[in-house]
Amino acid sequence: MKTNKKKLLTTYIILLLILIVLIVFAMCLGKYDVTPKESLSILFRAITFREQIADEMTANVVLKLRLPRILVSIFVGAALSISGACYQGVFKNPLVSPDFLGVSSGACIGAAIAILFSLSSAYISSFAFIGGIIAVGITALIPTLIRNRSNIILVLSGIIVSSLMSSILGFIKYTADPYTQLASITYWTMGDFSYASLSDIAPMLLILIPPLVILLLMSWWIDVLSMGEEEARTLGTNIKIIRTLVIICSTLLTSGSICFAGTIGWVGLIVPHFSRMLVGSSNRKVLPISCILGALFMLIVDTLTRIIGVTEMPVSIMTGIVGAPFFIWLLFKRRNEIAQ
Amino acid sequence: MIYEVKNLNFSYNKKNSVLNDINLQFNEGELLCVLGKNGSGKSTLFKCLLGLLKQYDGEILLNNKEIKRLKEKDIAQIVGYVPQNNESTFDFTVYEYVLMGLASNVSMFSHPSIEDEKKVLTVLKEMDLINLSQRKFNELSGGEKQQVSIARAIVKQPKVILFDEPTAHLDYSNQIKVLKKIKELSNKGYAIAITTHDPNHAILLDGKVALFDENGHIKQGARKELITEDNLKIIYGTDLKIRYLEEFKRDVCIYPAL
Repeated sequence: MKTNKKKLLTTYIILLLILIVLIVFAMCLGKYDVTPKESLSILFRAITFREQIADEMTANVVLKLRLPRILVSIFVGAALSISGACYQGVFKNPLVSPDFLGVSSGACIGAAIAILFSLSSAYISSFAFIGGIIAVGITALIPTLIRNRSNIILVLSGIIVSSLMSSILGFIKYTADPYTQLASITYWTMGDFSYASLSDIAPMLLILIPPLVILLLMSWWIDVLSMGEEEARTLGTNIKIIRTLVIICSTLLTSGSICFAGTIGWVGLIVPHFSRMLVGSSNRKVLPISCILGALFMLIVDTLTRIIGVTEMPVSIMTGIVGAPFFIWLLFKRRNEIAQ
Repeated sequence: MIYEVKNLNFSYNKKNSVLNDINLQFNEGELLCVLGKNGSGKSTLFKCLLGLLKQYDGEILLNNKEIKRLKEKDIAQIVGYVPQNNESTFDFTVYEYVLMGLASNVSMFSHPSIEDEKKVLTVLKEMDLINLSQRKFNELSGGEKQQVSIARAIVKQPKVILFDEPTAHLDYSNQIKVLKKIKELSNKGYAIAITTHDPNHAILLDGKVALFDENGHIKQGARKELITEDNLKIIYGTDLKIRYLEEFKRDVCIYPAL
């Protein structure tokens, strides 16, 4: 047992070190070349409130363009991955992604409405966040209305709400100005970190940290929930409260991520799978590892979108390009377990 | 009395009643074998006893308290449950699987303590399952899974253990292992109730018997009084014979011919 704990600790340390190295690389890579030494010096001087010795242009690229983007991408990656792992556990389904209760489509409608009324980016984020929460609220309301609160009804409600929201989004796109608003809405729904600024970090942490901490504290209970409703109850679980709390926190993480970065697919689906391959299925280990791996994955993907091609590619396109083959590889590795 | 069921009636829809005016009692150290054919309502009865189904008429008292008013945690602290199907969507290890048996001791925002982890290792050692502790539960054989499920049910040291068809899907060797374990636990003082459709299991366990007829009624009594050819004919609707085997000094239930 002690060897297992040592191995786990070593895995955490190695992954965190890789993340730190990649953050440094990400600060250097892009259309404007910055050396690792320069970027570290700029960062160190900024943290310690010293005067910058690098030229203003280089300092601005590192501190105002790349650093906020790196931070937002790692927080979004971590949040979506944890949220995906929690949803998969609660719904006993490893193929569930964080947006399946309708949060993404709701957020898209919120953002699209804000774009339609030409509101600022802060409003777009707020509207997206509220839209996501409202969509999941409607999804949660349907089982109450039909007096069957089982998981399967909740999943079906998610499908209904997502379809409805997609139609509403289609209508908004149809009425939007095709030259300006339609392009903005489409681009937003494909995920984008390029608007990230340092002023986003504080509100983002304010939204993401509380649900993240609660989920980490409740991670063991997600194991119990994954045994199914009846079995979890016979083990002594207050399924109504625990399941509701896990769903609310996971939804806050998803909606909180989407509102700052748009909809980003795949990360919440594949990172929990990869985490289980590394540390086993207990969510006490899966959640922290997903947090680090999600951050790593998102950072790599976003850095690739910045450096590949002449113009920047939306993040969701890259997550699909990287995620699909990766998922096939994961399925190949776990084919025998899935056959069972 | 640890469990007392009074005039219990239950139906999933208003037309068909599954449990009809059931009266049942069992206490610590007693072993109750609930016998009936497939679909007779045995599992439904257990769901009521576990507090999973609450829309029944009548009373179910657990330690003299109406089960409807008890929280899941309160019930789980007294009752251990070994389900019929042992499957897990995710690949938990045996150790992680057994640890879940202590959920009723863990508060909502915390994880099992080091003491809890020690309890799991102790029960795995006691049941000779320690070598399996790091194996994946889903990769175990049916017999091993059932033993691990029993370990999960007893790790919290409950007063009662309910076994729902514990020998279903098992070969003869594993059936005997599980029945021996049930008998051993009964001798240790646990109140035990098991459901089965095999009269031989009730004969081997030699405890109290509750017979389910097709109308959802139950007769409870001593094994020798209730497991008779006439009663078995009523329950299963087929001719089963009870014969005494001098060699083993016990009754056996056999089907004469096809």
